[in-house]
Amino acid sequence: MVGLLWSPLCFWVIFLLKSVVDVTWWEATAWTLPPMGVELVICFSTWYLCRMTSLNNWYLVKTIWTHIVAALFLNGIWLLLVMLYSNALDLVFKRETWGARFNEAVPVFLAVGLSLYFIAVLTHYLVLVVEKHRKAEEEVLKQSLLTSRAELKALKATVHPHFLFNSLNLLGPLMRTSTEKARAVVSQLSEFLLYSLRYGKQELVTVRDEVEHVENYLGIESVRLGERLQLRFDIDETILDAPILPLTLLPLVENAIKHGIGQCLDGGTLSIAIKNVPGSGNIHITITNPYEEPSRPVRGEGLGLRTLKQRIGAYYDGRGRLRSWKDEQTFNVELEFPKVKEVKNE
Amino acid sequence: MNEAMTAIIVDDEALARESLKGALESIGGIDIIRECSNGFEAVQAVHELTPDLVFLDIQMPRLDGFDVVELLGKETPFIIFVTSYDEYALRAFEAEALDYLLKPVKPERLLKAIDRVRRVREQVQAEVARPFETLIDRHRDSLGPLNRVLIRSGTDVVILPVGDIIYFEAQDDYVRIYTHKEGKSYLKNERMTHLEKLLDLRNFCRIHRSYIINIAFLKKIEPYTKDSRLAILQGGQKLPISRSGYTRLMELL
Repeated sequence: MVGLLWSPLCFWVIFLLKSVVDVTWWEATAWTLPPMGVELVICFSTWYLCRMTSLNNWYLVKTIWTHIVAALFLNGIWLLLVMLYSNALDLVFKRETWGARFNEAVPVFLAVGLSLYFIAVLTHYLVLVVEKHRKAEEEVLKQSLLTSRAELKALKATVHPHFLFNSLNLLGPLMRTSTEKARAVVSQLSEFLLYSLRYGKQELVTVRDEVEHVENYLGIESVRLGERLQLRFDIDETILDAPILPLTLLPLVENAIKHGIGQCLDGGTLSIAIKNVPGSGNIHITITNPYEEPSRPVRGEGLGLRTLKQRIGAYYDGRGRLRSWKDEQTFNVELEFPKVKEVKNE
Repeated sequence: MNEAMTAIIVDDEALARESLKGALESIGGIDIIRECSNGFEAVQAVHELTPDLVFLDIQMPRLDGFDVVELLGKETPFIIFVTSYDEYALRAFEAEALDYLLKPVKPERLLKAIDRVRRVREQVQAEVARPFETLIDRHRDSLGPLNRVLIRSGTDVVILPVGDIIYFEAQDDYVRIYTHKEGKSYLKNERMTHLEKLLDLRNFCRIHRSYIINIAFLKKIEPYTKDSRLAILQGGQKLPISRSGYTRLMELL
């Protein structure tokens, strides 16, 4: 491919030399081919320079200067090499053709070297731009795929057959011991399901919606776990109307119960704190719960967290973050994301 | 002829205990002598009260139903397992064709299970409780190698992470377990071959008919006689290595 492009170029240079300097065809050919090989290497090496410099408007002048300096420098060296080569040819063939007439050929070599340099640079930039464009397109595609997959998982999670099953099983014994509590569970369960039905239509909900949703969930779980589940909410009232992705809190709280408090012999306190980050306009959520190293591997651990991380990554375009870590006896999740848009409630 | 049977209910959820108690009361003939909210209480209660029957929940924190049965060993009375929907536990039961109750417990099923226990009790008064070893093993198989060893002496339960164990020594029907914590050792009713099957053989090696060592504590191997060697452990213990044990050890290292 390169050879195909390069050989007519070489021929053209030979032709130029022959017409400018009075030499025979083979003399011009011998003069041209090795230096053109070196030039090829130079042209390829500009690729790295192109990749390092930017075509961004801010740096355009700087980039142009860089290339001018580089072009002069590289071609200067090249000319020097060609001169040495010409003298060497004279010595080897015991004539006074190449070295002696080098001065006459300088304009040809200089013109060829500089123009090839700039053609190479332009080609490289073209390739880079196309590449960048293609990558950006790929990235967009990947993000949208990721988002829809995360959405699908979240949607599936809203169906909660396991939770529904457990909650219904609670009702049997509750109805005998305390109809009042049973009634409360039924109403919380129905609210919980209503949210699952409605959320799918909304891109964003309010922090208030999310908090109420987990309150319903936790209300039912505390009937099941009894004294073992203690709750501590610490929520900044001023952000109750702030926008948040639907089903952000539930997977975190679910994890805290399923893998945390539910696995602790004496239970513990689940703390949920939602705060403004001063200055940045971000929302900061911290959830901590006691944690006991499970006696055996627990399945499904981390799936909820991973899905949520993907959703947040995709939606906030890298400006949201979620991290989780285990201390000696607690499990912590920290979540921060910017407030975007206002929530349009239907 | 139906004298009341004594029973213990074990479940970490109060409502589930309540529910089962209600169902049992309506059936009659069962005298509930204790309710336990975790595995530790269950081991203690069975040891102290020797009930005829235990209703045992599988999913509980720290010690689950399978652990309780393992710890009770020969003291295990008749057990009726009660389980939430858990595919792995259910698979273990079904593979062993063992009776269990699925929550929420239906009164007819409960009655059937109790009737069965009554029948077996009358037929062979002295029959020991069904050996649950294979059930527990099957359940464990789906969970990967052992990461802790459970030991009981009387009502005390010790949970030993396998990382703390230096080596096991066979003593008749028992295994003595040496730990690096304060040089303590424990005795467990267990067979060496069975234990070897449960352990993670990337970390443990049976170097001799009577010894399984934790590789992490192996310091060096010294020649002893012409074709036997000694394993020197970090605590200074010297244990014999048999010829086949040496082959196994070399494969591992």
